[in-house]
Amino acid sequence: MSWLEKFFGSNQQPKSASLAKERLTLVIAHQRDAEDNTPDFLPALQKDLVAVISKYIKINPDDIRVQMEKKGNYEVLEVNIVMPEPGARKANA
Amino acid sequence: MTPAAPAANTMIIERPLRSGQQIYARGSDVVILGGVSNGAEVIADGSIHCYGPLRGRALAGAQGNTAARIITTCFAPELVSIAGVYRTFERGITANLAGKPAHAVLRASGSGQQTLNIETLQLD
Amino acid sequence: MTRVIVVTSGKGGVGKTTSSASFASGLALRGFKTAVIDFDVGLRNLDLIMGCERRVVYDFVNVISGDANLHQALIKDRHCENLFVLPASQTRDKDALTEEGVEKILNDLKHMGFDYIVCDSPAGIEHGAIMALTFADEAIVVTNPEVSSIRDSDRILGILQSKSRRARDGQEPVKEHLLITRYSAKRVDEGEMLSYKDVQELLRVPLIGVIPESESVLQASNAGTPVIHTKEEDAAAAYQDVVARFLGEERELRFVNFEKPGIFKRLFGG
Repeated sequence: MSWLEKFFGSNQQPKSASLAKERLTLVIAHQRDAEDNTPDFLPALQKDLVAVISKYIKINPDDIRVQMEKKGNYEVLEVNIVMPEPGARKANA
Repeated sequence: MTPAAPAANTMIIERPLRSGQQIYARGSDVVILGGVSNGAEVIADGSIHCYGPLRGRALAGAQGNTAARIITTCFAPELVSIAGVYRTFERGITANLAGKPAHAVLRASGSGQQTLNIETLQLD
Repeated sequence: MTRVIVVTSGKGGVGKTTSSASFASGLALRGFKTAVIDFDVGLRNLDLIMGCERRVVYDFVNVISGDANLHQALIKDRHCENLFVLPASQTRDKDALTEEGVEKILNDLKHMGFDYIVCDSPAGIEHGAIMALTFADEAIVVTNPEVSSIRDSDRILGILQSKSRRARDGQEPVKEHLLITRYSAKRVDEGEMLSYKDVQELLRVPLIGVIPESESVLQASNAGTPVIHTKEEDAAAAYQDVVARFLGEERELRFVNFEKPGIFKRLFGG
């Protein structure tokens, strides 16, 4: 930049920064949205549920499924448990 | 003074030894063409011959061979050791040695002890 | 014969992605069909620097796991013909990038007729960085004239020569090139910065170029245009020289000599 531009101010400067800001606003919003869709705690929650339920009913870890879904305006936490045969339900003491 | 007997099957490394790498020449000498970087370590049961800057750690005579030597065209190591007798250079290397061709050798001192000497080499 | 080139450094923030973007663009501008791949796992950068972040639909891991094919994932660069970008995955699962998976993709790219595949390595020496260098034929080691960068570059050079496929299979070793970035001839002249000769002496790798520190680099990444496309900028010209040298042309080193400004410039600013 010549000294004249420094003296009178240059309107070149803000251009690339505002372009960057515009691009980033979209990128970060999209990134955050993707993050929210798969919460970190789901695998741990599934493990804990298996442990608790196993105290009362004998189940396989594979028979429990935990899922989080966006249904319109709200999010739904869905837990599916496949119950074993009536005879085999007694849990380990 | 008998020179260090060259061992059979000298290990030859044809590239510089880089930070984080470690070489062990079991039962022989080792020749490194290209130098030893800071943070690299070369160990040999025999002698160590380094063509290029020796900036890392060099441990010769690892199994106790006191006749082993460390020879280099450019002396700038972090540590040198022969048969367990070692020297570090945390406070720098004296000007007459730094970056010069030199060798490290164990010499018997008057009291019968072995001292690790660093001596310049006149190569040309 | 397709050549795979890894752009790596060990140290973070030295200019790998900036250099990958410009180097790959430079090759494409010369008419070579070029792919540039972001090998980071979890942090996506190359797409932003290339300006194609809004067109990312499928990524590297999607292709490896079979969720998409290469044609769907490769993004055609908007600045030059012949250039395609494969973005990184945003997954946190580092095991998603398997050696077999990477090998298959590189082979598929070779069959698609690519002349050059540029692998933009993440920082560090962990899985992503190792995967980026595993299949390399050549390596551009990006180094700042600064102590930690130099030591990390030395480390990555050692890893290249022991962990690459070429090393493991006993083939001809990976061809090494040193690229010095963020160079300030003025600070070297003042004795405040290591010179490119110092760096070369320490790392003992042939020099492919010196990129001067430049404001144009930040502007380029803000705009999403690799700096090599910028007209009349030193950094752009320096990257052009790097591409030329890579292709075997002789180019004198520019931007490494500091000329003290004359009296008028010093009084009134340059």
